[in-house]
Amino acid sequence: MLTIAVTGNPNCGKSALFNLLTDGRQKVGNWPGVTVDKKIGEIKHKNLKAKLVDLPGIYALDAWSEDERISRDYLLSGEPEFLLNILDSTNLERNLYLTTILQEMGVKMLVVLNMIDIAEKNLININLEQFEKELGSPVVAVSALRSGSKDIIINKIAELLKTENKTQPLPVPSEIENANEESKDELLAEWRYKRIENIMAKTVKKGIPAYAESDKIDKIVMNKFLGIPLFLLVMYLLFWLTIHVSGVFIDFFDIAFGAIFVDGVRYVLTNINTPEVIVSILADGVGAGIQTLSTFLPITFSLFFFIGLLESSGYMARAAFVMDKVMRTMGLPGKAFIPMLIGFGCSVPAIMATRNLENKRDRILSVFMVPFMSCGARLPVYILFTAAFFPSNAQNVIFALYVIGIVLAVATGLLLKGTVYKGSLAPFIMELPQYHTPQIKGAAINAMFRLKAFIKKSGRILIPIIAILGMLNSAGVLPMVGKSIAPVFSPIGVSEENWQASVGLFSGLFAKESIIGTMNSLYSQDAEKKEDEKFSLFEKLGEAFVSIADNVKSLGTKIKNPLGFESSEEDAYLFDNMRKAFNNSSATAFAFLLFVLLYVPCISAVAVAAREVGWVLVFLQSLYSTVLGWCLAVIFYQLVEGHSAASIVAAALILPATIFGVVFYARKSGRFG
Amino acid sequence: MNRIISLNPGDKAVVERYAQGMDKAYKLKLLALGLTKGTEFTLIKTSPFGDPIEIELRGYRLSLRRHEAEGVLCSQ
Repeated sequence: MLTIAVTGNPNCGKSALFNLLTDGRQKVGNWPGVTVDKKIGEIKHKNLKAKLVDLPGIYALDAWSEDERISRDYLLSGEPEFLLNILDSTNLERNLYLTTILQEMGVKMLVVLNMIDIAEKNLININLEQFEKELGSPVVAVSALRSGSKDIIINKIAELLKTENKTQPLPVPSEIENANEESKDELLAEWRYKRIENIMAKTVKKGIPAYAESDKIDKIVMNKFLGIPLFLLVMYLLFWLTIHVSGVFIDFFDIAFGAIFVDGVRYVLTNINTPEVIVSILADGVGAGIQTLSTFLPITFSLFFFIGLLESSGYMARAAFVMDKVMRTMGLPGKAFIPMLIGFGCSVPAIMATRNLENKRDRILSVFMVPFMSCGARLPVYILFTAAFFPSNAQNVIFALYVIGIVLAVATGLLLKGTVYKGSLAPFIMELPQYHTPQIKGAAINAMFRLKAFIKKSGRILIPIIAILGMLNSAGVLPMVGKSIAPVFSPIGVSEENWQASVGLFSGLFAKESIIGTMNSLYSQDAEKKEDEKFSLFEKLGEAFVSIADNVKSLGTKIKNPLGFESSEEDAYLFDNMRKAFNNSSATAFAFLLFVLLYVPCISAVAVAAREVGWVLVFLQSLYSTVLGWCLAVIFYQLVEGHSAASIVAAALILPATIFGVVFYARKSGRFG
Repeated sequence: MNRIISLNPGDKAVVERYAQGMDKAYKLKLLALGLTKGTEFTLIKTSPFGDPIEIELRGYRLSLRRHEAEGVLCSQ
């Protein structure tokens, strides 16, 4: 089938046109050697059948950035036989720069002037016929919002494909080709822009100032006094909507996928007398892996949906503009605020959101910092422990844990900035687009694409890992492991008899909130045997649907009581057991919580991070944060209660040694970009 | 010769040349975005925290950090 590549500047409305041409159906592919997802669609039109490949938004093809390299390599690979170059009609001069480069390469293409409706509204007058002649490439003018645009583009491509005339590369003047290295870049850019200015002067009549409307909005939004409070408000809304909209559906996915892939599979396999080993592999292993993956679907979708809305509105660039100075102190661009913020909800989508950062080093730095943000799964652990050990000032203790997480994230950022990335931070150049009405449909299609990419790529890592751990768990191996690692925690005051705590930490690898469930069931001494529940798929699925309604209802109480403190008699019994197990020591309890905050992020976060930055760096991050957690917990406990000088000295030596080791490796290995 | 760092909101300037030894990738990007010799631009505003800055050139807006754009020499 014919392959057509689509390219254009960022903010040219490329993805809206891509959605239009492919009816919103997209597949996820790979670009060789990089983590950027390749978006592939299909044109199914009576006049044209073709595969459409979306290239990253770029301004040039200098191959200095990953996106430009991908585009250049693909265009030169010979795979695409035709190119659609999308331009923003309201910003032609700069958009044409890429077009001239493509012409120099001699690529067969159609130039698509997009958002022509807005250009017309702004009284920009383009003499299309003459524009086409001066430019020397075929041109159409469309708007993704205007009916008939799809036909215009497709029919023009079909027509151009029939005419076999070869596209001649546009020759670069020889005096520029022969100029010295230092001035060549400048001369080339000047020559291209001169040509563009010339075309513009002959064929385009300028309309009203493009930013007139945006400036009115910016007067309020970017106001000296209102700018920052409004930014905080928008970010709070982004966080709240992402967490709570997805929170409504999370139980549904958990219950429904559990019913089908774990209980259902077990039920069917047992009934046809499958050997227990195989049942365990498929139900407790693979099934549980699919179930875990499914619980991240709602939050992934809602995060990328709301980010998409903010991006298409033009506010995201403003947010990055506002936050740049603050984030820069940690060596990050303003945009990196988003993953940090989402980290308070869940590290998994937060790490995925680092994808929106342009530079590899920004993504790596963010992946190192995000797990320190106390995620929503750690909160129930804090709540339970503080309720048992700090009943009178639970809020303050929880607040302290959040602050410690933030401080350590910032410290990590400063550490890497000051050592590994010393003096070589990526410069910041960002276009500030005009404000537009947010594209709800476009944001939904884009979020679906991110969701597919998550399932396809992270599923491949996550499901096998959960499968192996799940099988070990169901085989009763975890308590053994827990008991054997228990001595590691005696310096933080967790005695070896309290092996349940280490088992809890181990099960926290699945999801940190599992720590509670595990310890809870292990502490219940009259270990009640699990009743053989009768399995009914329909009942479970019914329960799944009911959970949506329940969660919607509880949204109101969540607003009033965000931490969800409540206590019951059962809790009193559990609290009693916990206090006994932790020797009534609130110092131990706090040290334990410190460790819970800092040790290896859950397997799902690790799997997603591995996809973004590779296994080596994820392993390094996990090691770094776990050792950090252990040392801080030991130092805290020993200073407050244990008073063992040897332990303090040991922790105080291990801590800097680890930090030094990480920095040393980071500088030597060259893996940090 | 002026530097971007000394411009105030509302000021217009013209790119004169690039300072020697500027980071190549950064310079290439500025060039691609249209900051070529002779290009007029206007400093629109600064971020609420004072930096980065927003400039208008060739009919669109760009934001840059003041000290990074130091190598862009211009005249008023």
